[in-house]
Amino acid sequence: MAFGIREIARLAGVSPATVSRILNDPSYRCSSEERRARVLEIARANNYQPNEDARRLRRGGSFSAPQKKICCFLARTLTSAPNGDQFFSSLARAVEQEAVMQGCALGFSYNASQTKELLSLEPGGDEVGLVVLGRPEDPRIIPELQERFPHIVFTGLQRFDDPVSQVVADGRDAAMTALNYLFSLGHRQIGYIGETVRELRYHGYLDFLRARGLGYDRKFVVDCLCHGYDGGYQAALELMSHTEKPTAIFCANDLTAFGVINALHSLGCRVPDEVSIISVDNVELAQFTTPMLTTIQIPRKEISHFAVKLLLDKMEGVVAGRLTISLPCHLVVRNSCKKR
Amino acid sequence: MTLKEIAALAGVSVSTVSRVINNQNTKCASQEVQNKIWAAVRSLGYTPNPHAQSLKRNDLEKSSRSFHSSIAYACSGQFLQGSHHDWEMLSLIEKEILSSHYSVSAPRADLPAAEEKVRDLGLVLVGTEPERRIAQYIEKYKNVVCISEHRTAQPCDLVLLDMSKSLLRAWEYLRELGHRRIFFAGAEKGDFFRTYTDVIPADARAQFIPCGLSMSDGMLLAGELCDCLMVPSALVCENNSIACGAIQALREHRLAVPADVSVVSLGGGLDLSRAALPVSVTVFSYNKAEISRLAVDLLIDRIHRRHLLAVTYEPGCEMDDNGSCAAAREVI
Repeated sequence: MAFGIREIARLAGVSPATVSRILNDPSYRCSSEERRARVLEIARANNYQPNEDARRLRRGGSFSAPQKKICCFLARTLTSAPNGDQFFSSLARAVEQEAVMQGCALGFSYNASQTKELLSLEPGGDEVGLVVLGRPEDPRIIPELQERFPHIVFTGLQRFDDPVSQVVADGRDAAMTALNYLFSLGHRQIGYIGETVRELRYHGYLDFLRARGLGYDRKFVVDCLCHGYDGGYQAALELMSHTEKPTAIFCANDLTAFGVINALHSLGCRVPDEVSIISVDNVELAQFTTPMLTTIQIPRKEISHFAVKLLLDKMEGVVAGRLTISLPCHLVVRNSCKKR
Repeated sequence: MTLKEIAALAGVSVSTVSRVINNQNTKCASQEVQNKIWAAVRSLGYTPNPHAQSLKRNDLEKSSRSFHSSIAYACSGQFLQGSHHDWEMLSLIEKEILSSHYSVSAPRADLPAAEEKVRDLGLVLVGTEPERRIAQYIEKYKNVVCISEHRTAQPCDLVLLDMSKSLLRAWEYLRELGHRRIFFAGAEKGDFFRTYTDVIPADARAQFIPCGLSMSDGMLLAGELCDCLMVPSALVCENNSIACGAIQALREHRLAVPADVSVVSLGGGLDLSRAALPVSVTVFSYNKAEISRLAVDLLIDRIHRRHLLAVTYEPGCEMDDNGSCAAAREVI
């Protein structure tokens, strides 16, 4: 508890304004010498230190504004379409927030469709830092980006094998955690709804089946063209149209899971009594569905915190070499899964 | 440049702007409004007034430091046996804590007693400890960062010194220099051997020679290789002691290092900077100063509650070229 003017005022039985005048204004003639001496004695006895921030704020005037700029490149997001994968856009937002909190200005924010513009920009100097969100489609631009932007940090759900500095939360690990949880509940016929092309979570699903000696059943996998509510809804209807049905479904993200749950409800299928649902992301809404969604939390805030921190450390020359920072994903158990 | 200007540009109140900028999951503004605010932030080049911010946050750093702001460090029993790390790391950690304006508690080699109350804000734990002990340290100190070669399931931060990275780097470097007969010398049980079997591709001309960890063991090993006419083109040693001993013995057998044989080490053991050695060795390892800086920085970040999850830092390894490594004599 910081010892400030208010505390002195309380102990001396005077107002904070009076204390401030006594301590700071040399021309102030206090009405009572005894009061003045008491305030000074209290300040001395408690080792009072003026709060520098409060002082500077009150005095006003400009502070030397830091010129550091943080820019974002959403390497996997093609547009800011509302139905698309929200993950990287929300991560970009978190990065910008973190940057502002750490005292930086914000530079450009480009997505994958603007790659050409990005690569034709002036090379960034020491005052520009770039955060790349997600793995670029074409890995060849990675060294190009590194050349243009000497201060660069890559982020995402998959480790980069390239020699880069990166902040990652293991997406494949997240999928395995979810699937292993279903397995521990006794489920052996597990379906997958989500993207399958170049999708980490799908690869995690396949690895899981292999590791657990479960066969791959084509009927249990429905590819929805993009992670979203509509895709999930349609996919669930298709999945449940077969005679053989899974007892649990792993959805690639929460938004998809919402669609799946509603589709199942419309079919009169009870969740989790008949079918368990699990997904990845832990968006806010996951707590408000019926049933509440069991999902894997991806630490967006921590990714952005460490990405900006690492970038600033690089720009200030504090960190010289390449650093990989890895963060854990964890299971948030709610009500959408049940024992088989 | 203040919140007022942003609010004016975005057409909202100052409090809305403040909430959106500082609180991520805010329901106080629609997506459209949030986008407007961030666009305004970007175009106006807004940066927050650091004094206003830290005043609001009541920063630990700025307020008067009480004498309870100390950080402790401890090392594992294995560390004390000096197989891989060395004392330089401990003094670097101490320096780092002090330069971050915290005081340092006397280092310890064991857990505090059950009744002992711990006043430190956090702990830097150096070396590998069993999970149970790490859990006990976490219970006592709350905020813990480990510097270790092994991952842990415990809820603490970690600076991981992955031996497979440095071993692989040494191997690839030697291969690039044309070496094909590469031997590995180290303890027959332990991380070095395990990493060797995991990481080095099965190659008839790569061999593991068990060896003790001291300089005389290294001399013995090299002597035997010379006597049996089994001298490799390059030798990768578990630590500096073995490497220096080997180089000494090779020279006594009239072989030139690095012209005839290249020798490298993965660090630890003999302190190359201190001892007045007639030989020196090229080391593939982690930058100790950087490790200690990363560890203390991570711990302070945790102490200030800026992160709560268990974070792992994986630094890259570097080569400290001391001239004991060169291109292969002949490509075999």
